[in-house]
Amino acid sequence: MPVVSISPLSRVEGHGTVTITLSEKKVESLKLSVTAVRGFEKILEGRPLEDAPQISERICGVCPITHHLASTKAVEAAWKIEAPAVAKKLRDLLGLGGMLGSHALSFYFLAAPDYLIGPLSSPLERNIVGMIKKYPEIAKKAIALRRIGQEICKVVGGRSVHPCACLPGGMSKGLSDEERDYLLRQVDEGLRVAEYTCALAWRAMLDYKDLVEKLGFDGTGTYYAGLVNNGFHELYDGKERVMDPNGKIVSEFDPSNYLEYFGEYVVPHSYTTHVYYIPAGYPEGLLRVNTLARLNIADKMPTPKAQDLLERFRKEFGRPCHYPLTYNLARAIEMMCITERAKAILEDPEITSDDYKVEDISPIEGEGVGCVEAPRGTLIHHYWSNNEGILTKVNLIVATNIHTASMEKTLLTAAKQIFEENFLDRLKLSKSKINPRVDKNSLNLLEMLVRAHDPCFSCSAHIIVLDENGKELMKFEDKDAL
Amino acid sequence: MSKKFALAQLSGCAGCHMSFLDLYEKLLDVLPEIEFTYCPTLLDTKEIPDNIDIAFLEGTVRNGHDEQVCKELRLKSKIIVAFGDCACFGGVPGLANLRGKEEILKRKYVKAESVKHSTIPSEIVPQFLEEAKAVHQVIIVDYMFPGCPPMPDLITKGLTALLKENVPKLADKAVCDECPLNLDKDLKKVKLIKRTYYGKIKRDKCLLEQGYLCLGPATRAGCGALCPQAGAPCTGCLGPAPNVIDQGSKALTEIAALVKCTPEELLKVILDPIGTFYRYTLPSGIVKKKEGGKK
Repeated sequence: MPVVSISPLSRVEGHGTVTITLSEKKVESLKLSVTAVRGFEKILEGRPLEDAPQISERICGVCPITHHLASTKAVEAAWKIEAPAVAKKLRDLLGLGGMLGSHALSFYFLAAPDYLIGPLSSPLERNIVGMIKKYPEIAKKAIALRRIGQEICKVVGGRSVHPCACLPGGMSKGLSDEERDYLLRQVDEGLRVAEYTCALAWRAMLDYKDLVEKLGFDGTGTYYAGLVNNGFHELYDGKERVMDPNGKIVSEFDPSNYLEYFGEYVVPHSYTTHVYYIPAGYPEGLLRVNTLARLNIADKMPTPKAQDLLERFRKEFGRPCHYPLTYNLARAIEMMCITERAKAILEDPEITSDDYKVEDISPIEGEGVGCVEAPRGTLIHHYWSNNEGILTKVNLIVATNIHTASMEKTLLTAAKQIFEENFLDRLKLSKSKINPRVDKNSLNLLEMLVRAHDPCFSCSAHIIVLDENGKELMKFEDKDAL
Repeated sequence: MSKKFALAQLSGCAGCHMSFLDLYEKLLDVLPEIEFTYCPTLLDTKEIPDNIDIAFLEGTVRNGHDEQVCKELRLKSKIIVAFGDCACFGGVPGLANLRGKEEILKRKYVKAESVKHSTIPSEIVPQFLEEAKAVHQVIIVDYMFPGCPPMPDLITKGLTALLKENVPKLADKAVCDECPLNLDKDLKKVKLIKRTYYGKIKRDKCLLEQGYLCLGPATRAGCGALCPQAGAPCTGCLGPAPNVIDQGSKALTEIAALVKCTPEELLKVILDPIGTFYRYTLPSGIVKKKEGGKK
């Protein structure tokens, strides 16, 4: 039986398993399992709320910033505190830095080798080390763009990984003139690299256009969700907008009301729950979040270069765009937007103000919701505080949960294409590097789809292929694929 | 000859991997020096290869699969480095040991306010263990690189030492010893312990002196006192200071002595002693009992 297995799923953050069950040559089912859980809801319980921003960020080392921010906002909502305007700007900037570092990692270190070195090239070469050898100039850009994001986090947040500067009531530190000037130099470099990155992403999308418009796409769409600010693309603070598969905006709500709109369906095969849009039900209300969703739901980008790119994106792929591989291009467009916005914030004369912390704060009994856009999509922290300011209960909706179900659907479509439809031979590609097929194992195409969604499993993934009786079928080792 | 290097993740957050990448442009020098053979986060090598020279393990041992990865890597590697606090001491996920396994899973999959359809996942997923463990509680570990995450400088120096077959060295002092705010402090003035949201922390003065609970005296140096310099008290992420086995009890006695009170008096004003003193080290600390709802 012509079956392959990849184990573990690689170049993604964390651990997951894809289990495909085949009967004859038909795909019977596909299950995407996230195979690790640590129980942060219970870890946080009993801790003082002011410690939550630094404890909860340990959920994810790739996007600690967004947990740090959502957590701080949830504490402030529970205690009814308003941070000063400068603190909000610093947090917005910190969020942009975190987003840039994470996007640069996803785009260049994880996804790009598939397009530059080739989706079916040798598994030993299609990675960042291979890029350093084969395309050193691109690798330097990759490292630079990630560095710029991380340096923003380090300067504004106190540390690049697991920052410490956000506190209920504001920030533990402001931004000095020297720090601002240093970051402006970084961001100016960032603007240039982001432009380069967008050009690179466009070229990849066009070189692989037939693959992009077919892989994992079954002709239907999903719901899309993310924050907007008066219709504009937003990352730090706004209303949660939901768009239906036809492109109609069906809800726009204050994130504190998320329980009316987002439900969790727990599946037996994964430690990650399936979040869905309650008014549409499960599984009809499957959602996508992350870069592509944010571009779909936003009316406009808040910055000029990103707006031009969005218009070009819509001209090429429509609105809503349902092609999963375009997440990568959407990620590049967001990096343009991020660097433009970071520059604008740094040029705000108020940014170096000392008014970054409210001093008079006392804990009260209550509950609060904090919501931001993580690199991977909407992130919600919901805290309950007692009158001493101790967490009595915690509920978390993490971005990867929101699009796990839609990712599973996309992978099922792609598995059918690969196993049932002789998909690769029918592709019309001229400039792509899909040939020669060194890697006979075309399951890397499934992994490319996972990478495009950029999930954060915070654990490792395997693709296992089973027959209808649950028996594991013969698997190719990577060395055999060479 | 270049060394075969592996970088694997247990139940962790990938933050230690990120700190490795925070070497930035130095990666262009470091990566060609090693033969990077296994790293699911960055490479497509699917099986753990044989004859690894140096293996870095990130994350807490939280499920059955994590235990298997530890054992397989131990069999196939000459040197095992516990990379980061989760691997060294159990880390933040170790705080889950204050609760029972059932309680943790029920909160997430049954009782969560947003859950509409509940079950406890049990198909395909590896078994969630009773307790979170540090790597040394499962296999023999050769070296520990502490930190949440370990600083890029520690990673470069440590890895360079290992590549030259030398013993990697950790800082042999406490955070206070490298903290620039630690000059001319007058701790006799410290009367009360303030929670971090209280007031506004001064950037040019020892945080303990200002009355904020900073774990600098009990924590190993190596970070350059990053948090105190950013106006945030040290939370102890580099683990116990040199020659200290239990970071929590050391921090408690050191700080009680500094603020001139007994540890019992100090505990009265600290609402969450376990989360404060054992945030990164609970599974390997001497205190391990469950909280059971007491306060």
